[in-house]
Amino acid sequence: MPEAVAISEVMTAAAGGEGAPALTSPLPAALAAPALLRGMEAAQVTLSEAPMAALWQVTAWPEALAAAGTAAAASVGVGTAPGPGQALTAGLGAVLRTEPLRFWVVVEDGPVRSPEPGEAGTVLDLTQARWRVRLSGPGRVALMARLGPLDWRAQAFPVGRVASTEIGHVGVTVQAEPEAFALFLPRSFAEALAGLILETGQSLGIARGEGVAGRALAGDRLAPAHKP
Amino acid sequence: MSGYRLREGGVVDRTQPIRFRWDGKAYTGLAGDTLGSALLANGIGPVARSFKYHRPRGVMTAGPEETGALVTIGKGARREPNAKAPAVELFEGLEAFGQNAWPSVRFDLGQVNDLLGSFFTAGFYYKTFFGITGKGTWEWMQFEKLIRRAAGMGRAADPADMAKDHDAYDVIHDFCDVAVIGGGPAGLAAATEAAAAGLDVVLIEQDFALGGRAIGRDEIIEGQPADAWIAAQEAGLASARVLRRATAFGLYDTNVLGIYERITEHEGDPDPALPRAAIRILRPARVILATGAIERPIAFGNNDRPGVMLAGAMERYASRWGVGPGSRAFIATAHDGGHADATVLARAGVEVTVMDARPDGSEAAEMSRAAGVEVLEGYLPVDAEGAQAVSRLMIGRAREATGAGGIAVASAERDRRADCVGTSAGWSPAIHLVAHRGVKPVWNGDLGCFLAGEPPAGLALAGSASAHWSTEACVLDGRAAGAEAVAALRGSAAPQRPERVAPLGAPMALHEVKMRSRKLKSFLDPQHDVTTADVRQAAQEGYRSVEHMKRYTTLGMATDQGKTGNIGGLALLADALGQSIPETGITTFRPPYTPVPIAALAGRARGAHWQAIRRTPMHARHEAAGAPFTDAGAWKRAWYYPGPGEGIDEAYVREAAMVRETCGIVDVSTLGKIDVQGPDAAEFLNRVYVNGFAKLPVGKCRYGVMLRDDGIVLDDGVSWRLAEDRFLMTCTTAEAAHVMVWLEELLAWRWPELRVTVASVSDQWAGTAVAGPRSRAVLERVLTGGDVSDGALPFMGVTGAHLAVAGGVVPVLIARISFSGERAYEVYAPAGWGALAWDALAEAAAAEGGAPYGLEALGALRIEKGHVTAAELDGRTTLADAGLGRMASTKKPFLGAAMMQRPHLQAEGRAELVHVIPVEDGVRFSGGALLCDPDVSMGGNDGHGVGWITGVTESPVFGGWLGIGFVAGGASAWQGREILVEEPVAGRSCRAQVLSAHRYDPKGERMHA
Repeated sequence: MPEAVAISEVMTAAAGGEGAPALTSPLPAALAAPALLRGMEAAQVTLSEAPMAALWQVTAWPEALAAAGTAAAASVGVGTAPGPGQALTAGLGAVLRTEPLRFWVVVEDGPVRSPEPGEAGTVLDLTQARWRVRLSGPGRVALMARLGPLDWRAQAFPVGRVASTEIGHVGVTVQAEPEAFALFLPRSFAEALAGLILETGQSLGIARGEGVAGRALAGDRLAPAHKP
Repeated sequence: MSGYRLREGGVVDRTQPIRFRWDGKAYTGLAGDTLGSALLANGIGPVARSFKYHRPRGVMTAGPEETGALVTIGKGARREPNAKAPAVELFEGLEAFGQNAWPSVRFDLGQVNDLLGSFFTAGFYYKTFFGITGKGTWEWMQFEKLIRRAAGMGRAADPADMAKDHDAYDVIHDFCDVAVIGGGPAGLAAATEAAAAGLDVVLIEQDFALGGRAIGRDEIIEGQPADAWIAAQEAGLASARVLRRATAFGLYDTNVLGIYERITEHEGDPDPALPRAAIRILRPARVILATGAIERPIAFGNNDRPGVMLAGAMERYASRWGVGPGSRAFIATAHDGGHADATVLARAGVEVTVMDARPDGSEAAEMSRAAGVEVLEGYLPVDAEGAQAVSRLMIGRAREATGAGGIAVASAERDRRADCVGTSAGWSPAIHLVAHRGVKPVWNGDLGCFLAGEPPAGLALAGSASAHWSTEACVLDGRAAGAEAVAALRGSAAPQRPERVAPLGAPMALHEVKMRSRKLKSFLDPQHDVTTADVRQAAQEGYRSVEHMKRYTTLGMATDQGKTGNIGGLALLADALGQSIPETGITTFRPPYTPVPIAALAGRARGAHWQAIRRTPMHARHEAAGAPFTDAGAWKRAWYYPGPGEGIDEAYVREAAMVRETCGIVDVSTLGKIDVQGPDAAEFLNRVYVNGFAKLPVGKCRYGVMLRDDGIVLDDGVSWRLAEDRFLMTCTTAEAAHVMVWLEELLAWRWPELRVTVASVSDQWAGTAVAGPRSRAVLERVLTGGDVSDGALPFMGVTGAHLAVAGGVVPVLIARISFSGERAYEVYAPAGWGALAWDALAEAAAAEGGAPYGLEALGALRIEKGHVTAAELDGRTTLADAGLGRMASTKKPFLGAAMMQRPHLQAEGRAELVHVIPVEDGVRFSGGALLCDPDVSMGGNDGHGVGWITGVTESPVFGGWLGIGFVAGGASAWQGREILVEEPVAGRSCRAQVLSAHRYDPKGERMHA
């Protein structure tokens, strides 16, 4: 008889564990960038996949916001909780304040350790619910202006700013990083939104950068390299 | 037409010819031309036919206010009707055509309408509603055919062409400190002032060149020749974003600007990677409207003849494009400006006569004479003569004093040779955009025009938009407006705006010249063939409101938006009603200022991007298996998996039978999944669902139904208790978002005291249902951890497990739930491994004689079992209607409990869930069919019937066609009676039996096995 597996184990194993296979990208390798403009030698924007080792959501009880924020930040080595619409980054990853009572903990690389807010709030593994992509290059602000209705200029949306917006009528969380925007796409919409981004980026010159599916075999969505 | 290219002058590149085609014939223009200037330069005319009367028309203006030269440009998918020739930039290879004419605009048989003009006066269209004999509707239906055939100007591109080759458009969201609308002298001055202060400035200019009316003008601006001054301002805008070929078409709340930006429209061989145009939604901190002014024409007899145009346009063609509008010109004016235009034409070698309606000599008249212009003071244009273009002009003196309404009565005095006639009654500030913000225009009797009322915060007008008429005054005002914006954003003291400088000679109100001796056909709005007589007729027929007159006559409607004829029209209405212009008022300017293609508003949201497609983690697997997809909201769901030679009917019946006999797997990732956590999670669900959840043990799941406040079923689903303080709620694919929002609202507003958090995890989990008698064996083949024996995982049990997949082991949640009526399990794997889990389960299912099945088979199985979906829970259904009345707890309160007791919802004879089968073999009916009592006709039942069909299938279990639906009284009320299944739209009807919906394994023995 097989050994019983606790439900709680499954709920924390989604962010990766011993023996887990490689993550698959929701983006098909065949999803190619369009041709560059006539005479253009280099793309102004690059769309890359940026898988996370883990993404945890910490929701605070109203009276315990500070404690929950501190717990969320501590799990990736960040000293303090970020303010609304802000992200703080440390060696292990970043903590993003995505809503007034909500934090996202992004783990870039192992070890993956769940935040422990205790009585201050709840924790939810969203590692496989979002697929992170990056837009980099000098045309990234212009491209974002064609995708979402926020002010993406550096003076209004500087590095470390986080916002939820809509792209193609789908809710997307955006984080301003040095020389890039990180887009947390709902996994089920990732292929559609990546297609929209590539088509919209055509007028600026867009390339598909290195990424999980970008390195995969043609026609195969499996990502051999990434292991959380 | 009498136009020609002047030997010199104009800001065009005479070394760079541009070839274009007009009505299939090749012509040449110059770089810097518009289509309007090129048509004039080539002496082409007429270039259009009017809307109703098919009268010949030529170029009448030099900008987007054009009312005559409406043409079609482009071919195939790029064909665009009703382009205004003076606003179309000429490019190599441009093809343009006349429109609204047959066989051509030069000879149009439709001109017969002009002879029947007395039948097509104001409101003729509305009168056809009543008919000639008063038979109303029937006669209108006859007129309608004719009117529909005649209506419209030009033809849009063929949809088939556009489907093959459509243009792309972008929608751009933009922000800045200061937006300046208009790149004329005032706009340039304002923008450079703000940019010099370091602000983020966007300058929006509809033309392809900056400078406005200063382009090519022989004048000194701030000590520099005009063209050098313009170049200097452009240089001063290096830090600003200058949008040429961009029209601000609307100004909305909080000063949000809608801008249509032409990107490749003006290119003969555009880069296919670039969009044709973009909608830019600009959110500036401050807006300066330097939108200029629009010249008002004077209505006189046949003033729509090709060759009659605005006087200022004649000056523009000579100064900017080096085009003579004719060799013998008359300019009719009522203010000093007409003299300046005449002087320019005279210097270009045109023989010019100015008719200044004002009787007394003015300084401007002396300046005209000094330039060699004949000046006739107190003279008016009476009637333009000529067939295809004006060849002679009847002129005369005013016989009666012109009143405040600006209507001059003249008698014909002299017939003079003329090949072009310019008129100028004065200028009206272009205040359309500020009016979009709800600012009412205010009449200024001294200036004879409407000015903007007090603009809202953050908005200012500058230059001639604010009735500063000289270039010098415009520049001064523009600089002050720019400085004012800087001060406002920097919090410093605002500078004083300059006072308006009165013109040298007082202008005279002049809108129409008429004769006592005969009727003249005088046009106010040539674009819509609206004459002065139409306005008087409207007033006579009781249309006293200017808004009613506008709609009755169509004056200034559609793309015109009252740019040229509006003031004249309302002045004539005021005169007819015996009241003043302020008493009469002005019509409302609405966006768009100039037409915007609907495709541009759609932007990228078309085709595949119209609605973002949602794919399950296993989507590629279904594709690879050759499954067609069907839409479930934004989701794509595998419909069926066709075997060799199979269509949908064969495939789904095979799949459904396979599940009953052995096993099958189906992708259920689309189900809504909500994480519910917190110490009050159980209490929360206990309030939300009609049945109890407080005591549900950990490791168990329960089917629940939730009601709306009004007692109607909102949704159903199974919630899994994962821990004391944690549930995984599933809901239907259709209602997932609705339920999520509903739960958030309940926690935020009704029960904020509950310590519960909810979050959608629909994208976190990939769901695969394994159904059929061999389903447990399937799981046992692939599990490396977790016990799915009946003892460890009974019906409605939940457990964790490890699933062996290619490349490793995946943690999964398994619940023993059945939608098919068979033993079944739902296996949830983290989405990133969902495809791997599917592969493993598919392989195991194959080993047990099973295979994947699609949504159609899923539907067949649930119809047989009598399970409900969103098709049944359609916002009208109560618990009892769905056969679930006994689920409602009597021991606890729940949402909707009170309202579900309403008498109407408890009434006897409500429609209840049933099975419906045709009496005759081989007969089918469709979902949506009506159920009717054969003893009472549909008419007797008010056409409502006694029930309806919600789903149909070929049933392997029952052997034949099977429907599920609702019928009054339920199955018991129809025992021993037949019912009629009516499909009135399809023209089908059949007899059927009504049976219980719970006939398949009613005791649940297969499910619980």
